[in-house]
Amino acid sequence: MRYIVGVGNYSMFDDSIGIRVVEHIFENGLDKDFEAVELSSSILNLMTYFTPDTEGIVIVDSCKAITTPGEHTFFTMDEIVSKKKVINFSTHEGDVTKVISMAQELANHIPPIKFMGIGVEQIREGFGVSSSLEKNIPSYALSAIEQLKSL
Amino acid sequence: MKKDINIDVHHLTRVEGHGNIKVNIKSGKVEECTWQVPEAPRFFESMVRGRHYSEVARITSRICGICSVGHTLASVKASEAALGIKNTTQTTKLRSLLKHAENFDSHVLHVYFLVAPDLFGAPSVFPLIPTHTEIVKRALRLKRLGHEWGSLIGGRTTHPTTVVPGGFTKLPTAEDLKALKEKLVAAVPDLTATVETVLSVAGKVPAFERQTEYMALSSDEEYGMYDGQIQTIMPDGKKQRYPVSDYKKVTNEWVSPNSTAKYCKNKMESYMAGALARVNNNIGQLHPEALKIAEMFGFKAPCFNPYMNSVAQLIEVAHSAYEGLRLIDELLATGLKEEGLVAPTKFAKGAGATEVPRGILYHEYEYDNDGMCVKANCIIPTNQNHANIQKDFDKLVPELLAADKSEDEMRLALEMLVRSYDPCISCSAHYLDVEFVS
Repeated sequence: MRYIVGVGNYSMFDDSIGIRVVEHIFENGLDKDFEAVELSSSILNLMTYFTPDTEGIVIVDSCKAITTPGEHTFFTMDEIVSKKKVINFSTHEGDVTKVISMAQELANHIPPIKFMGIGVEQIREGFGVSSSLEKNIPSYALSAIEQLKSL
Repeated sequence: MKKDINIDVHHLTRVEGHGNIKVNIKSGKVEECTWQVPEAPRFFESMVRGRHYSEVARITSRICGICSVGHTLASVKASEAALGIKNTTQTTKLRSLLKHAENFDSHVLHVYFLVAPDLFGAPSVFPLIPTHTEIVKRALRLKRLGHEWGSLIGGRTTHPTTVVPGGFTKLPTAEDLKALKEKLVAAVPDLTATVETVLSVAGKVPAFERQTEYMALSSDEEYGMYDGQIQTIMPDGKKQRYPVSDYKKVTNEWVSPNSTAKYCKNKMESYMAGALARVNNNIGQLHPEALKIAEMFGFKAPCFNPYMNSVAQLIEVAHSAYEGLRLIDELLATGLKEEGLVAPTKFAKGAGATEVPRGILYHEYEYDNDGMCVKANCIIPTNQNHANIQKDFDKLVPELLAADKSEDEMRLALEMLVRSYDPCISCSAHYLDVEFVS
């Protein structure tokens, strides 16, 4: 099985972009030969998908390092260094990259993983996303699906 | 000894959200001792106004990433009370099964990832990965079970999609339920090992006690998890019940200058909600296997040690697993039939309550004749516990001072106390904060 996983907080505006992309996939029935997963803030559950039958995962998330709002980039764990100071895992405190590092340390099976980082405009309380992101949601979804095929 | 102590824990770690601890002692005199909640209100009640009854639960489930099942269930129960919608036994059992999945999942996260580091003398779970690898792997296996269990019944573990007023939009198949049962049975050795692990460090649980009132749902039918009336147990063991529609009379919200969140009280100056409150109120209705665990820890109700909330959570992990097995057997025996969204029979006001991992959760809505929400109110368990945490501080700090504890020991004792309540204060952002390797 292959997965597109949306990460973020639905009520923190642009931080929800990963979830919105997965929602778009659900709503338009695009999840034909893969599973779309709304992980939201329960990032520890990402490890649930680290099984031998997982062929690949694309994780869609908002990304501060991309400074142009709406722009997106694909990258792997080898191409980044996390700047988050995470003391522990909870739904409020956590970092997807540290979940993957933890799985590596525990010698779990790690499937091929690509991140789709999306540059954000506003992270604040509230439902919705900025217009610069909203207009691109269909193209984000298609790009994520294309990327998944290459894994 | 007349010592000076200054504790200023800004954004306590290993709790869900942001809270501060401030203690200032000068020449042995406590000048300040406060639990502060600085989070901004999120106004979810206003977000559901003008929304149709069929979509209110989907919105309120977004209040919390951990208790999203509980918010969904309290929400549909309130809508059903307001709209005159009755449930079938099948729907009640499926919702109970989903509720137990959330309880199991959240308690495993709290006991293993947020509390265990204190008991093992580690600052977080990360140093435990190389030193206690098998325990961490076991924690993740149980976490995965909770996730898969919730996803099967709710469509998703976080923010379920299948629950609607009157029923479910999608049902698990008999094969799905049989597979879940096999997983739960297979998890029993991990549950047993978890009890042994926590027992091995139980001596690290502080022996602090303070008598207070404990509030939880209670029912003659079940261990007050999904449904029941409001019940409180007083320090003398006396219990009283109230209908859920009277929830405002027992929560009595008030504003503290130390908090942006409202505080609550009932008969005493504060009360506690959560696993300890549930076990104290309903210990006789625990599954026999969960009761055995309570006995192994010498747990006697009412237990007045708030640090024992984590042990109560462990007891409930077992209760939820075994109750899950019972519910699956009953659902398989009767078979499942489609029972989707039900039309209203009236448009009025109604309240609903369910237990979430951190305690009793209340939702109340009022609908107009088009089925649109015109008024909403939610009282979450963490807010109900803030006053009790403060009262614990007020008793604990002088005791620690009298025992000549150092500043570091005092800080740890206070941090562990707050963590034991498993507070869930608000939700944060989860963006990737990375640097690209050039």
